[in-house]
Amino acid sequence: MKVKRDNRVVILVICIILICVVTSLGFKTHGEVEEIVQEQFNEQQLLLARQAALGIAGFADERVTIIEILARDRSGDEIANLTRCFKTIYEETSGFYSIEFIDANGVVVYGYPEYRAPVGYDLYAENRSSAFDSARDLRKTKISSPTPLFEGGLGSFIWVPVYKGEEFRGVILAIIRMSTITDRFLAPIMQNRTGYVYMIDHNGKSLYDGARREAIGKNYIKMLNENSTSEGWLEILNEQINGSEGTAVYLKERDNESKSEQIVAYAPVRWRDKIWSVAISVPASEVDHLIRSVYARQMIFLGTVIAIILGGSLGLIAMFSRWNKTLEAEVKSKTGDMIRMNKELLLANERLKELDKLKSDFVSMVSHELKTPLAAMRTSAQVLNMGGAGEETKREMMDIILRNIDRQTNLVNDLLDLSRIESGRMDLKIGSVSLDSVIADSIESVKQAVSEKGIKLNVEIPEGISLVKGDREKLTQVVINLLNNAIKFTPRSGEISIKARELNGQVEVKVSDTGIGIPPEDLDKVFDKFYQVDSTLTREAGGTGLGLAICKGIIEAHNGHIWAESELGRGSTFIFRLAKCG
Amino acid sequence: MRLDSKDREIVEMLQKDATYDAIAERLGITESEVEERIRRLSDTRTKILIVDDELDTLLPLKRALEMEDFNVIEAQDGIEALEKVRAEIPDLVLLDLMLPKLNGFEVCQQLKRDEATSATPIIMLTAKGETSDKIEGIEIGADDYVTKPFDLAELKARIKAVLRRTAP
Repeated sequence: MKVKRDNRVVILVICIILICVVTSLGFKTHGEVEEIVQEQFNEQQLLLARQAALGIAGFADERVTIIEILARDRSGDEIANLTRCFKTIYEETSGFYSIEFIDANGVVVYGYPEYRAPVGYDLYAENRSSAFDSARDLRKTKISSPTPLFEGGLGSFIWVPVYKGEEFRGVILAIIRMSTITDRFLAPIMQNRTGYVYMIDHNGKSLYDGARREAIGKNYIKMLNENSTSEGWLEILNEQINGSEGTAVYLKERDNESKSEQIVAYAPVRWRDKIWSVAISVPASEVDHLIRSVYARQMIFLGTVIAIILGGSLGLIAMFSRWNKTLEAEVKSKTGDMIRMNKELLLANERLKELDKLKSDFVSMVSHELKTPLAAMRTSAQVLNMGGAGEETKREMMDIILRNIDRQTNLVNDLLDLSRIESGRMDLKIGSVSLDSVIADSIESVKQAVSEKGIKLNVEIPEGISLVKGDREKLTQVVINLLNNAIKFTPRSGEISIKARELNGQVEVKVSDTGIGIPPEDLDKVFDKFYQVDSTLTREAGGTGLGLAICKGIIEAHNGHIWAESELGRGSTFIFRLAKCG
Repeated sequence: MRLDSKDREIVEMLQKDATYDAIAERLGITESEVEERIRRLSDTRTKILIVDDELDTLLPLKRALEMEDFNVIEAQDGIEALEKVRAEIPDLVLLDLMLPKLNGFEVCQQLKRDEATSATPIIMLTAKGETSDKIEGIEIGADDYVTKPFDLAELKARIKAVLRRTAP
């Protein structure tokens, strides 16, 4: 018991250690995975930002280049020829809000689409000529910072000077609406994703904000200075203004005063002299979400694997246990067989011992029975020989000798009968036998003994009782034996009855006495040879002890049945049944 | 000839010419028993008790011993044998082994266990004659052992030898 408990403790400790190791490994791996995923995520965000920035720069630059080519190519043409191209360009390239021509005096003379062109608008008159002047003076394309359009939204103004040699002919003003760019390059990034994209110019002014449309056109830095809610963002904005690229994390304050980490990936948009910056701002929880989704997949995989392993193992266990049960059942049945065989052997052994004892008892009994009359004869003969014996004595001795010769003869005959019966060599002269006459003959031969003991003999045989098949002589021997047996055990003035009757195709003979009876446990044994051995009851009556055994042998040789019934102290009844003739 | 205490008193009183009824009164027994005892005392022959249930064995032996001038009494079963030994006080018992009621071994055992009868010599007679029977017979105190059928002369010689050996 103690050893068992110790084993349990050891197993428990090992389990705990294993769980700790697995858990710590799990945590370590989780940390590493988090790091890797974080890195990958940041890189991906940065790539997205960079891609968007490059897209914007490329797009815008392409537009500028088209206008520049037009300006250079058609610098010598009529103004009308030049402006005719505006329509084609507007229609063939997407992204322009409007294309206008401003003459050398700073007055808008043409624009396409015409309804967007404020023809006649004088820049000088309106004091909006600084960009125009810059383009003219520097003979170089000027891109002004995005400014609000009349129709709302921000627009980027591109001023391209047209020079025919040294002659300044005017400026082509192309306006690109910011929303055209942002709708094309920034808005799609965050589709179906958490987080938002924003873009600022070199001053920190919002050119696009996917989360807060109202912020577009306002300066983030100013906003932050007025209402500093999110520390760290300002630093990021400054980095962006400097034209750097990278990723950074800051704590964003929420409305409910809780703070959440926000990952910002930013990349610069270099468009001519303009430096803008695109940023993708995503809550850090996105990374956890990603990790969780990875784990969820892994868990599903692991769960499936474990389920398969468990299911398989259970199946195997069930199979083995069924095998085991079959084996056990087999072993049990085999063991049962062996136990039964053992019991049978023991019983057989007991029976053999019993038989051996019976045999040695039989031999001892036979020798006793043979020697007793011999002793009587010998002593009697010697007495006769002694001389001086009177006439009376001589006669007595002679009688004893003769009687014992008869007794010896009977015994030898009985033994021979028995031996024939037991070895199956008894010759039956089968014929139709009338039990009536058999009984009459038997009574005749025991008559003297009956009358000597003063026994009353009742005979009951129905008239015309059926004949039986059998050996007349042997059957007479049976009845005589039964009668002798009854006489021996019936006290003086007792009663013996012999009855016969027919039933179910058989004839039954019953011999009853009023003797001492047979104990119930001995009813079967009375037919054994020398049953009277060691039984003082029967010894009193004398006899060879073979009569009933011979009766049983003869009746059974006739395929009949013989048995005894008795009430101790009241007498016994011996009954046999034989088949009727025909 | 064996005498018990009552026999000795009877002899003493007879020497003093006491009457039968006086003796009976003195010993607390009936007058007929006194007569019986005196009759027995007057028979000076050696008394032998033969115990055998086979009358055909018993009778020739009885005749032969009577012809040798022994006083022979008989019993046919174990119980009767014990009674006869106590009543008749024989000088020797010829005891058959196979007896009804009590077998020879049991009779022998009881006689040897009882102080009054333990001195009575016993010769066992049996038709079995197996060594184990002999040993058992001797162990429980039988003085000799003769197997049937026996030679009469031999039996007589053994009787005399045992009587001589156990004579008081």
